[in-house]
Amino acid sequence: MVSHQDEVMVIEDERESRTYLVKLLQLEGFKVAAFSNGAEALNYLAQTAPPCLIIFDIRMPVMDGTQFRSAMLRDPRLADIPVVVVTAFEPPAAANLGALRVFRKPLDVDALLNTLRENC
Amino acid sequence: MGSDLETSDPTNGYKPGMDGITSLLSAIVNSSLSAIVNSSDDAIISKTLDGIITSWNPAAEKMFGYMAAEAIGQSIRLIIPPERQAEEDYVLERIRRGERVDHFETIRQTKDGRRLNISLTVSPVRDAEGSVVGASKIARDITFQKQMEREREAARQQLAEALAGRDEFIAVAAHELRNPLNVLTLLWRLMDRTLDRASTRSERSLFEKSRAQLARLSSLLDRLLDVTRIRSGAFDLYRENFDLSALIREVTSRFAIENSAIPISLQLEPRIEGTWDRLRIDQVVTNLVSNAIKYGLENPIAIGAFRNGDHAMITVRDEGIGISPENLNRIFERFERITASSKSEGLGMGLWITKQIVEAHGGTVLAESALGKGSIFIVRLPFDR
Repeated sequence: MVSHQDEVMVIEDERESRTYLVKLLQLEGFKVAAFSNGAEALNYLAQTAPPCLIIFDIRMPVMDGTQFRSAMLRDPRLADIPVVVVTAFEPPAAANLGALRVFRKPLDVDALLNTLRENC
Repeated sequence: MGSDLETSDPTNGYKPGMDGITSLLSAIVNSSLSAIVNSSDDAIISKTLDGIITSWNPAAEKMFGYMAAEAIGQSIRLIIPPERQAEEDYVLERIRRGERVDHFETIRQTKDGRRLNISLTVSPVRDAEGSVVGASKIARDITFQKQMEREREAARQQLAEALAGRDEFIAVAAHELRNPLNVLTLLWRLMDRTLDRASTRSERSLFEKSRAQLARLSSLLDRLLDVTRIRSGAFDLYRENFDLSALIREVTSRFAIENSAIPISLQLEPRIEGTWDRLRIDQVVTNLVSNAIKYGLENPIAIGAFRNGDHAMITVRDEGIGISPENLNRIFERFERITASSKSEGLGMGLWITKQIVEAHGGTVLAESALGKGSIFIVRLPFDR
């Protein structure tokens, strides 16, 4: 098993949601790498050590959250990275993604931070 | 049937003696029948087993546009549209077997080519020996009734489409609103972090108020979506394993910041693990706690959770205004509020949604209350589906 680094990945196509979530996580002391779709994130993952946790949105252009998650699960190097889903849509859309938590927007920031602290 | 029915003289054939009485009675009966047939609003027609028309009442003249003189002696196929000619074979076939055809809904054609929706009853006519010699036919024009039915059906369809359209619009709008609301929430947190030390007490208070409004907006959105979703039957549960006590702690901590003046006590059995829809149960607890705060007169609130056999129990107790017995039955209905006081905000759907969620999990929710003393809400959630 590859050792995970203490970085959190955020994959979110909405620019403002992404920007402020990243700022907030950084303020809380996390190292953060941010991407606007699943394909960008997969590229990054191919070149770096796995992060301690990945937060992703479901609806995104290019490669959505569901496709991204399937790609992760197909790759033994990535399959066991804990994931958290954040979605503006219905929780059932996030079902069967094997996520630690599914959050509906607007985010419950405290609960998200607790989940991060438990895993990073 | 034909010629007898056309008799107009009730004393026709009168002769003294038993034969005479019989024939007088017969004449009277025939004359009454004739009057009924002539004044009927339904077309009454008789025909031979070959389908040749033998009588045609005034209503038939009016309905189909052929006078009796034109119709009698012609085939009944005269009024049957070309594509329905086979129906006559079927009807005659049954009549020959001595059977009746009841309320057969079909289409017939008038002299000027109009199509009528008709309800037909055809019965065999027998001679003195009981053999079938022809058929009598009663036709009711149900064109108007059919038209009404079609219009009602179209209106029903239109209404259903309009409702579905409205629900979809609400769903899309609510989803679209979630992203800016998410950005606002994040911004609020960022400001909260940076303002911290420099802010004065009044700045702090304004800031807390803005947070409360954010929370209210997002809960309104949730409810709006839930009502449309539950109404349209698209109410799926996303079950996952989680600890109910931890969830209750998480929910109450959200309220604690905003309502720090209200003592909220927790009595939670550790680790009540079950497979439920986490976001939905979060909503149930949120609804019950927010009601307890709203109607609790700032008195202490007690929240409990424990195992009870194959169920997990959640209790939320307040010492507030309470609910009168007549209202207690109605609080779980849609758009009901516990009080009519101006203080109660929201759409009056919280408890209705709570009940739908709990019942979707196979559980129950009930309330006990005494006016002026407070209320307790008890949720039973089965561990097994």
